[in-house]
Amino acid sequence: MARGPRFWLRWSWRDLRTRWPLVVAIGLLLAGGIGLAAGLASMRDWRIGSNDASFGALRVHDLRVEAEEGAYAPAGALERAASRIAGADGIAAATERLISPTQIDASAAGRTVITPGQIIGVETEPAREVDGVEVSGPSVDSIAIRDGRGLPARGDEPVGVLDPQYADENGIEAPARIRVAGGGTVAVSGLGNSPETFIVIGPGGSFSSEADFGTVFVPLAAAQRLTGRRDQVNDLAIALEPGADPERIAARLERRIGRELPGFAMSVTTTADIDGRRILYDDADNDQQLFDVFAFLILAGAAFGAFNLISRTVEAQRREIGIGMALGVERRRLAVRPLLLGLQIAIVGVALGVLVGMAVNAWLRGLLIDQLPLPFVDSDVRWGRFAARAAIGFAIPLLAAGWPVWRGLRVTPIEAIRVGFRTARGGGLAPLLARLPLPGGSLAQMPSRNVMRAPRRTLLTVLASAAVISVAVSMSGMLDSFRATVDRNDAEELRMAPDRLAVNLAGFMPADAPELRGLDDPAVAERTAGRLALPATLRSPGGEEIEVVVETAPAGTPIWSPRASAGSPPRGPREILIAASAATDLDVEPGGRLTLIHPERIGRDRFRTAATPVTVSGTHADPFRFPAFMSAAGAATLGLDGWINAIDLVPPRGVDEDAAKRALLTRPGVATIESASALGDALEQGLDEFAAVIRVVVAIAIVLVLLIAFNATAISSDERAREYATMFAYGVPVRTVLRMAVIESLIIGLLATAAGIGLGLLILSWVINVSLEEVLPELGIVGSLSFGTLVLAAIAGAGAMALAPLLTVRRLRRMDVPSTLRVVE
Amino acid sequence: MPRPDRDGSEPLIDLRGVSRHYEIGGGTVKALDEVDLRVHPGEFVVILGASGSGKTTLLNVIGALDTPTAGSLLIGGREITGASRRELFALRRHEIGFIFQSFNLFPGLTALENVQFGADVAARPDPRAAARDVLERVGLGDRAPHFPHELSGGEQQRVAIARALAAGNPIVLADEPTGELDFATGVQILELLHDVTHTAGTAVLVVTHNREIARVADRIVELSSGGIVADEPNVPAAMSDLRW
Ligand SMILES: Nc1ncnc2c1ncn2[C@@H]1O[C@H](COP(=O)(O)OP(=O)(O)O)[C@@H](O)[C@H]1O
Ligand SMILES: [Mg+2]
Repeated sequence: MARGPRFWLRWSWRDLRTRWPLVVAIGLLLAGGIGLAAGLASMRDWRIGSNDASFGALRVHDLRVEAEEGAYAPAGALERAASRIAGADGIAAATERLISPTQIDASAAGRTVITPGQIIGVETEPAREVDGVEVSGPSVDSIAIRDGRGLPARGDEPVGVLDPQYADENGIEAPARIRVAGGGTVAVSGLGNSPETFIVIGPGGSFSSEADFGTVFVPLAAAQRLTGRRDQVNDLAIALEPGADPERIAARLERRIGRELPGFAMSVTTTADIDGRRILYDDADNDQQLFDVFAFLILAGAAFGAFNLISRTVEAQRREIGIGMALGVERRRLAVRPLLLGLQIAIVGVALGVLVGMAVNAWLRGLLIDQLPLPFVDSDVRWGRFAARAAIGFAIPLLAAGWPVWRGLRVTPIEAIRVGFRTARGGGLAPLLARLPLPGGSLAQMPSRNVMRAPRRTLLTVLASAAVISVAVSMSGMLDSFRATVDRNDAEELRMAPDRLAVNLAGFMPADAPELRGLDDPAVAERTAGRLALPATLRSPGGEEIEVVVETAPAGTPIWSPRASAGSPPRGPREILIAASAATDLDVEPGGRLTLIHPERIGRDRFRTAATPVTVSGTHADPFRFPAFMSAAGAATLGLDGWINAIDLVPPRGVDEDAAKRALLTRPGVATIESASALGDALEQGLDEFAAVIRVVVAIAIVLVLLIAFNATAISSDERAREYATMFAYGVPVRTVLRMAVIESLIIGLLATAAGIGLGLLILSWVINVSLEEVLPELGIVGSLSFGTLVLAAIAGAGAMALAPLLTVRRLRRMDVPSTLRVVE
Repeated sequence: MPRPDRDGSEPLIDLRGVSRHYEIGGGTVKALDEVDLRVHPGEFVVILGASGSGKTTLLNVIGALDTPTAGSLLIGGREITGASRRELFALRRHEIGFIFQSFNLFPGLTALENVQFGADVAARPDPRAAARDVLERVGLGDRAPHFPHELSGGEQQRVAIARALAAGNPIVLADEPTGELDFATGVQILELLHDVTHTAGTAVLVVTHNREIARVADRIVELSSGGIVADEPNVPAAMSDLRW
């Protein structure tokens, strides 16, 4: 009986052979979980490592002097001011820049590309090389060149480097020629980006997609010429010596500039204020959390599956275990056989899991290198983390085996051997259902009774599938929510004049400025309405601050005006209509008071930063946080009465968007032109990529649920073999038996679907309210779950479950009824 | 062709030269060999034989669960060797009721529902009433709402008998129905079977290896090595006469 280990190994090998489809199915399930967990384990490290490498190599600024819109300083003045502060020796390098919004026309034969963007004029230094990548341009916030050549070390030719993401999205290759607002031309010699443009963020924290907002770096002198700002700059990037105190230097700098350059409204920001950088770092953390949740859920599904099979096996071996006990074999030895099954599952799972994990790893590395907008990517596999997760996956089936084995060994030999023990086993919770019999005969009762008969296993199966379904539901729900958000934005933006164009002017101008004359010519526009649109900050009494873009209503008839979904539209000079998400973040209600921090014009090109108390008139329906609206009278509050810097315009009937844009681009004073649908289109485009990933995940989820369902039905049809044989002996047709099994499975599937949707909603609300709220607070995501997602969950859950018993039809048909009936378990 | 018996009545079960051979590892196991057997309605036959003598195989062949390798089998005058799968299922639904050694009740159904299963499958009118009636007859009317695990072995087997009878089919086959029960309970079960089937005119075949228990039968068929070695009428003994 208790001969050496080889005896037990051989025995459990026989067990394995009789159950190999199940072992493989659970192994696969486990492999899915382990593979996902291990494969995703390095993501965070990769992304953080890549962030560190990229920001480090390009020497991201520690401090930045950032002018308010419309404020300029004479070239050299900012650098001089910085060099004169106390503790200036803490400054390692400083470089001036001229950053201007522009319109880029990169159209060429066969393509039309007219989008807003920015010109960044920079001081140039000789190129250096980091890890085989050419680094060009300024000494702080340098430019990493991906293709072509960087900026020449000397010279003021309009030679430029274009953002590679923008170029890729629009099919532009270096060298190329692009035109910018005002009619100038830039010869693009290469593609490259700098730390602030890794992630494309429009003015005021508004969103833009890579395709719709272009950044072109040119030598400072060229930028000054292209924008008509000779010898002017509006930005200073500073790198500090190690150990220098950024806070103190920032404060001194602010005071010094205020003193030396009155009327130059600006703020000093730090590395932490770079939105793109924050998103890159936060996103790495949050994505990892989300991946971990998903990997954990799938692992949990696998664990439940393993637990189910091993419990069932131990139960089947109960008599044998009892006989063993009666014969005096130590419990320890009796535990070996079922535990070996757990071990076999663990080995199959981990072996396949490591393969899956490496595949996931390789896929993610490829994705990372392609998708991460970083010049330096660190994608060394973190084998330690990989192994740690594989080890967890290995432990799960062993633990899953442990419990039922322990329970099985606790019974007395008499109990275990008792004849008919299994048939005489309690009816689980079935008696509960006996009180409410279903209409129909005895066969109609069976599926629901069977579901209740093994409540623990039913629960495990439900939980296992629910875990996997919840992954599909939450992922698909994220897509739904993004869609709903875009739709809501579209519903607002496209409400009054869907074909309107928003023209941003090159600066603030009197509404009757000579440059603007002719814009209202019927050949250029059917209607126009001038207004103000400027970045500002809203501060709550509690000190909470968010960035917004404040728009004032035009003096005349608006082409588009915001709707208040709560409260009322802004009236008078000091009322403001803000986004609902802004109201939440600032913790105000309509009627509440806020401080608006905004540039105030105090002379030609002279602005100062002013703080004005405003009253929240209401909230608007746009999901984005940044738009804020004031009435026409608000212009006076901003010190810009009679001035405009933007024009809403409806193109003449019959003129298409591109033609209208091109015509406007050549006009003086026009900086950028955007269609009302631009933001929605940009987001929509991003969603399509996301949707492809989600489809893959959902497909995997369906396969996993099928595996779980197959496991569950294989186990229960195994267990019910004698019941089925009895039915066959009584002449119940195979299809009737199958129908009952399908109904039973379907009940479990429906429970799993309901639980999966519930769990999915929880995850979704966590993602939207916690995770995304942290990474993308500017986007007030509208939580939403579409009918399609629910159908998908039902297909993944109920569908896969109902399908699984059909896989056993062959077994049922071929059942050897006499021997099955004879078997006394 | 059905052939009338000596007394002119037609046999319900008619085996003619039925064999069931298994080819195993070069050798042939003759589980049944050239068996001739006829059973009439209302007969209570006990099939007696040592373990491995072919009793179960015989019952399975009669019950259309197993197919003979030679010979022919008529149930109710109809030739069933060569019948399709579907026909065999239908035959089992409408001609036969099974009782098993280990009861094989459905653990998810109550006693009454288990009995009703027999009536449901045979498509009897008002299956619930029929089930109640039969359960009453086996003396378990008061246990109707109980689940199998709440019943003793003897009670479970009575429910199983009720399930077989509820189908109302002319043939009842029982393979070692007393095998898992103590002697006294086993005898009670056989007497019950004997009584209820006599009143209904059902043909009952009961398999046992226990010669004492066999004494309750009308007729004892003895099997050995797959062949019938004795087939004698028997005067049923009263339970009190049995020794254990
Ligand atoms: N599936 C089978 N394969 C091979 N031999 C079998 C099979 N079923 C039964 N037998 C053999 O047929 C003979 C009769 O079996 P069985 O009818 O079960 O006997 P009994 O019920 O009288 O104990 C035995 O020798 C048994 O080994
Ligand atoms: Mg037998």
